[in-house]
Amino acid sequence: MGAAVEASCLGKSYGGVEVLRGVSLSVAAGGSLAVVGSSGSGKTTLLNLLAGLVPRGAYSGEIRTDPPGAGRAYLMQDCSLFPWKTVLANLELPLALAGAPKAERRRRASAALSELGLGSLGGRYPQEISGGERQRAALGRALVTGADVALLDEPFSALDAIARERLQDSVDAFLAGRGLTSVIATHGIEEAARLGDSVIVLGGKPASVRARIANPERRRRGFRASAAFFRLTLEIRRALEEA
Amino acid sequence: MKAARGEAAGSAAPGSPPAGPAAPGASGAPPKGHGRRALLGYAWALLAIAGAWQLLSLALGPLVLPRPWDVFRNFAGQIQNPAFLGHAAASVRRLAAGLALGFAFAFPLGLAMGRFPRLDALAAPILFLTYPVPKVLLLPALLVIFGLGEAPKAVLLVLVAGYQILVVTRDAVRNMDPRWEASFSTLWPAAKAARKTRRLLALARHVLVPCALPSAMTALRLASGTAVSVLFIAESFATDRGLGFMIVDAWGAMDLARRWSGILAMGLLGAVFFEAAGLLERLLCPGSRRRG
Repeated sequence: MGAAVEASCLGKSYGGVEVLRGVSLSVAAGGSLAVVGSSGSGKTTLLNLLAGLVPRGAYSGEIRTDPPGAGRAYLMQDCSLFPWKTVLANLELPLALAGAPKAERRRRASAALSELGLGSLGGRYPQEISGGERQRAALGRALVTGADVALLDEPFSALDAIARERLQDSVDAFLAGRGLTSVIATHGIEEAARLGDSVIVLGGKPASVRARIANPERRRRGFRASAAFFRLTLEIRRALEEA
Repeated sequence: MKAARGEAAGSAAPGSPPAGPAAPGASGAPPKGHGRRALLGYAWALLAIAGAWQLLSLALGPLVLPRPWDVFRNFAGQIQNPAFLGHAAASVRRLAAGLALGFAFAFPLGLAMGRFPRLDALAAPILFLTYPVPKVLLLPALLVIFGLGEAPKAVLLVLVAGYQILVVTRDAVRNMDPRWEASFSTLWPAAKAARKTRRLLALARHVLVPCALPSAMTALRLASGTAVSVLFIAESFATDRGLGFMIVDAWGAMDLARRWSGILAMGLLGAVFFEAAGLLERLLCPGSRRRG
């Protein structure tokens, strides 16, 4: 089950250059937040902070989860499955690092692959499967240890339009089915509108939150073809242009 | 979850992002028909070399360069001769030991130099100053230090193979795509609490070694060719066994056909080690696109 995430006044500098200032956000347990911004707007930096990849003293602000210490899974841009391991071995790796016995690793990784519709591809190498299959396998690898919060950094940017839309639907259903909380960084306006229960727009230098937009109708059937969806995309576009 | 269709397959080599079409046989198994194509390739090469050899022999005369047929006939006889087989076995042992020990020393050192900038700052200048020195010039000193046995020859071959593997492995780690380490760090939330040594060993096992190994194996293949040349010189001194000794001995006895049989054997030895290193690369680097 997902965990609530709250961050307040996050700031980060690299080599004296401030890239993120005063970013606050809040995601309810099981909810989703889309972080939208142009390239270089600090989305990846924000996700790195939320993932706990940056040491506590190297940024300012606070990050809390409820319950405290909730597991966070991070799916990086370009997915980064290791090409020298089979898909199944890639999914087994986080379990191995966590100290799970071999039989349990195999069972849990195989179950995750089956759940993602990749049961027959476990013996292949990442370079032998399609981009969408790689993304799903990478999502499985990120979540196989049973995290409560999924952090997705432009997970669909390398895919063509049709594959992207299909994968958005299937990943959204997968996360909702598990009740996971998610934060999705994207530069796609429609993607943000499709995947976020709420949307924040990052912009400026250093990057800060320029707009917060609620998206209460997102889970309604037929939302993507509705007038509400197009109104929302216009609102996000306007906020991005002003940012 | 339903599989998304219509997505293009991509491929990736260690150290590079996944992109482009999947290579045939990108998995551990060699491409279908690889062995047959390799044999046909070698058959063609032997024919081409024999043709050029025959022409050169006609031009220079058989006292300078014997005809290939005479050498092949002598070689066919030699491979049934226990003395020749003993020389060949001694050369194979020296070459295998030199390459294996060279790899065993150089690969971990290359990983460490590539990974730790402080170690690299100390060791890299020494490496660059000594790398161009022809290692064969050290043979007299090695004979004095290690005596007349196998040790100086082994050390010479270790130096010849090791330097090439060391430079390439160090560079492979230094040039590794940083995404792999970043990706690894996202998979192990408990890493921060783990001991530093354990973290480093896990990173080495799952990321650094698989990233650097294909390059190191390529260096090993190249080193096998260089090592055969150096082996000839090493076996010309202070030994009465090995193909190098046999060639020099036949030279002194003006036995041209036997001498050229030895040269042919050394060439074949190099080709066998080159192919064996390629096979080892395919076995150890199953996800790599590098193919021999």
